[in-house]
Amino acid sequence: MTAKPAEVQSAGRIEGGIDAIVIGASADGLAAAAYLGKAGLRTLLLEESAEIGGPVRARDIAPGITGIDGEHLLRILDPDVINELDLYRFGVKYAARRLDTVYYFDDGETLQLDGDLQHAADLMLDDDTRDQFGAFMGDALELSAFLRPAFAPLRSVSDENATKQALDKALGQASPEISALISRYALASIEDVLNAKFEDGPVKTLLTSEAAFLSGAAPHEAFSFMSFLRSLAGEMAGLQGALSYPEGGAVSIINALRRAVQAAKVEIRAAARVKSILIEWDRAAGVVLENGGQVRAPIIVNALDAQRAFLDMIGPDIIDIEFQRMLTAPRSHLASARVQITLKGAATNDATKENPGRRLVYAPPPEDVRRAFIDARAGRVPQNLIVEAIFPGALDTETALDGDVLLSAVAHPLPFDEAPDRRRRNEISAVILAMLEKIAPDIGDQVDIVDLRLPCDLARATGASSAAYAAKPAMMQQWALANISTSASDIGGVYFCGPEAQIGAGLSCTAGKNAAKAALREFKKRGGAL
Amino acid sequence: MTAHFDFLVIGDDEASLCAAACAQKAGAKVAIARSSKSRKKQTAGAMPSVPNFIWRRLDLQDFGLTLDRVSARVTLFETGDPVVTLPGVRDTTAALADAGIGDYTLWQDFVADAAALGDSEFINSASSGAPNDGAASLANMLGDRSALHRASVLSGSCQALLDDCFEDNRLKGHIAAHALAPSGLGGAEPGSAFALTDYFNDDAWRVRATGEGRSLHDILTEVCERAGVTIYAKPLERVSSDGGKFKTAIFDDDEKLKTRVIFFATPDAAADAGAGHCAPGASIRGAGAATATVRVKLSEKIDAPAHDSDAIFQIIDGGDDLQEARDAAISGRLPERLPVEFEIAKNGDIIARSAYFPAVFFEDDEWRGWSSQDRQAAAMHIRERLGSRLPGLANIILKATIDITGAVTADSAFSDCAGVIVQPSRHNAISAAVRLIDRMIVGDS
Repeated sequence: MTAKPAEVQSAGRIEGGIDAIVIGASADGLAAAAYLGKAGLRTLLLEESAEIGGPVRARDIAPGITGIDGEHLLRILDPDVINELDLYRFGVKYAARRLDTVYYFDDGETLQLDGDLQHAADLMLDDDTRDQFGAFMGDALELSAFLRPAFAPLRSVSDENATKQALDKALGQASPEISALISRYALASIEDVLNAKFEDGPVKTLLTSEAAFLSGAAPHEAFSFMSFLRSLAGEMAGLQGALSYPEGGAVSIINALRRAVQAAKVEIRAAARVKSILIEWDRAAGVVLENGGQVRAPIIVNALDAQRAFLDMIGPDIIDIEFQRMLTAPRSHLASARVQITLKGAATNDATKENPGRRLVYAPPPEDVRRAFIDARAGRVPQNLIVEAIFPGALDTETALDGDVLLSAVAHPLPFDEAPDRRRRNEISAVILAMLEKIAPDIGDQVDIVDLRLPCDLARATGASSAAYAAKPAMMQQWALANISTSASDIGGVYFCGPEAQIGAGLSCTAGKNAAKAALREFKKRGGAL
Repeated sequence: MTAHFDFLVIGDDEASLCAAACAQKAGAKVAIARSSKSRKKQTAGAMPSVPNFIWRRLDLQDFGLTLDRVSARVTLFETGDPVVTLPGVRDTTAALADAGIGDYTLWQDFVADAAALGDSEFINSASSGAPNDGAASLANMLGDRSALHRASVLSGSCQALLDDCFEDNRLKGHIAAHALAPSGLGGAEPGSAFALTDYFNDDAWRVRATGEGRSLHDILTEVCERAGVTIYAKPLERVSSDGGKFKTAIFDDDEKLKTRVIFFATPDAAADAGAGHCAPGASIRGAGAATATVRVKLSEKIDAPAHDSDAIFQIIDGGDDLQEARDAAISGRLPERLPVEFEIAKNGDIIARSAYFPAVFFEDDEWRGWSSQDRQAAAMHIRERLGSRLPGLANIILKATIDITGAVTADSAFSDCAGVIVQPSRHNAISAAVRLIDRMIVGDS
């Protein structure tokens, strides 16, 4: 389906006969629209830019080289969404279901683990360490699987009792062992947990980096361990805690979702900017477009960031004060950076040549990770970063690793800047390149183009406030923000699945699924006529 | 035959003794282990308050115990007048108004709100590590919007909470300093809001002995003995667990005992015994930092700042000091502007402490423990900070002694922390310790 220009259709007019409007064609917006359309609702998906996918987009990094913005690996994509929307049929295919990881350490040592951390079949670990590691990961995976219901957006209906009952049902069956683990780990810092379990060494170092990666909570701070559990709660291709690479990169998920949306007979309208949401008698009644047109519908699913969704489109007058405070308060002061680098010629050094199809992680010593968080939070660019790198070309069966090579890396933690200047950007690129040297010595000689993407760049591309792309704060704040934003400040007919509705970092779609399901429940309850 | 106990309480402070005595009186079998180091005979500083319910349970009135409340909480900034808050809300409002602090009208609401915020069952129970129904309590919290909101504020920073309530930076600095200094936390650190609300708890206002009659420590020791608590006054060598219900504690003379639970009433007691790593809420209480206490003997009485010799004083230069000092300490460096808390003891000694020292130093790319030079440097640092607020102090110092707790030592008797309970740092340490051990007795039966 080709998107039609908005002006022709709706300038100055009032349109009716629509059951549901989804605002924003991010992955969550697309998923929500597909669910609604599939259930038989006449659904309209409005996207203000010319492209769909939110921050996940294909873009030319250099002539002839396409990079993909947003995520580069999948970890927490909702398996229900894949199954219920038939995404395999619409083209999702894994190039790698579970990536092996090679960890590089400060002292030049490396450690290769197959993606199944629990059964770390590595020869470099002695038996005791391996057993300890296996037991620890066993506990962590069991606990995170148990907590999975708590990592979904919490309130997709404004009925508090229903939420309570659902949570009681999901978490109330805990064995005493699981309950004890929750008590022990809920408030703990990453360092507390790891120090109590492991001697200094590669296992502690790599776990510190894995746990602190992408998190806004520093490893020495209370509540930080929970973000690790969240990252392990995903299930990729049926494997818990696995990291996967889909053929064609993350953008292939967006493409599959788009096909699902089209198959569900949803109308996608691009370049259609929503100005405000119509509220009549405390309920959503439709949207007002930037061009003056109105589209009326009783269900509005908003996939934009919460500041725009609530403060701009609904307005402060009918939004709870506490919620407004949370929306405007600074979140984590931390961010990750994405960098895509083109290399001249094939990788020449052994480390990369041997591991082109693996996930390469530089894990700094734990004290350097701690210091990096302290520096980043104080607004300084740290001297050491955790860096995760992949060669998308080598992972994709379709492209081979020869000629110009693309390297994709994510670095964490960095200070969150609203508007970093050129010097700051250069400083960040330089540190990331220095870290990549730990993975691939002398890679600097091969670097051609360095394409850095910070939260502000994603925000510019999607029109969101950059805070939406800052690192996720400690779990308790994520829970509170997701809870209050998904309950949409109790305005009937409004469902929210923007970035704030998601618990944990990565491409997930759970928020979109839950928003659509909540909307459908209410639609049915009201006899299909709201 | 080896003696069997329900609890082995390790520590020699008032909170440990109270917890042991209360548990024994409630029917549990309790032992106390305290190191053979004889407690120095010196005038004690302020201590956590002893709430009424503990007086009654231990019949403390029979021992002629009398305690005074600390008169005021005072913060001495680099420039400008001290900021003073008092036990009474009205008195404080008046004092803040007198001092020209515009936010004085907000004080009453703030105190009430802060105390109410602290009422988070989930965070309170999870931070102690006592066995509890973690899953149900998590589900309750997540399903209740206001409980979730409270927990989210508590897991946030002290600074965010204060920024939400007040405009005046001196008042914010004052509150943060008094709330966070005992645990050594930074103002911007997640979880520091928990320490802040805890500080507005009813039992958080500290007390000190009147100087007449016996000390609380003496009385509590006698209460423990009379109640039938077994006291071991020798160092613990090792604690081992065979995976069963009991852990075995072995003393340095090879005497053994078996206990269900090892109980630390304060994180300091755990750190002293080498079990600091067993505290589940370690990061909430400021893990990674050491506390230095300096006792200064003077040749003559010194004039108390704010004309109040019964107050607790904090020295900070500005509101960001706490976070900067915390960052330095956990990075293994000495902070530049060290936050220092001090008081003037009944005998005229100055007792000063700071929890913003590194537990280990990081120097030349290596971690190393405390040396005697570090101890001297720490003592000097604290003396200088005192001198900056107490003019003429340097000329009247007779002697200064320093004591470090929480420094990381190489060996720990606790290789395995199962069955080890550590009460996290609380402003109301005594009542919190007793409540925790009570809950564990109920949980047992």
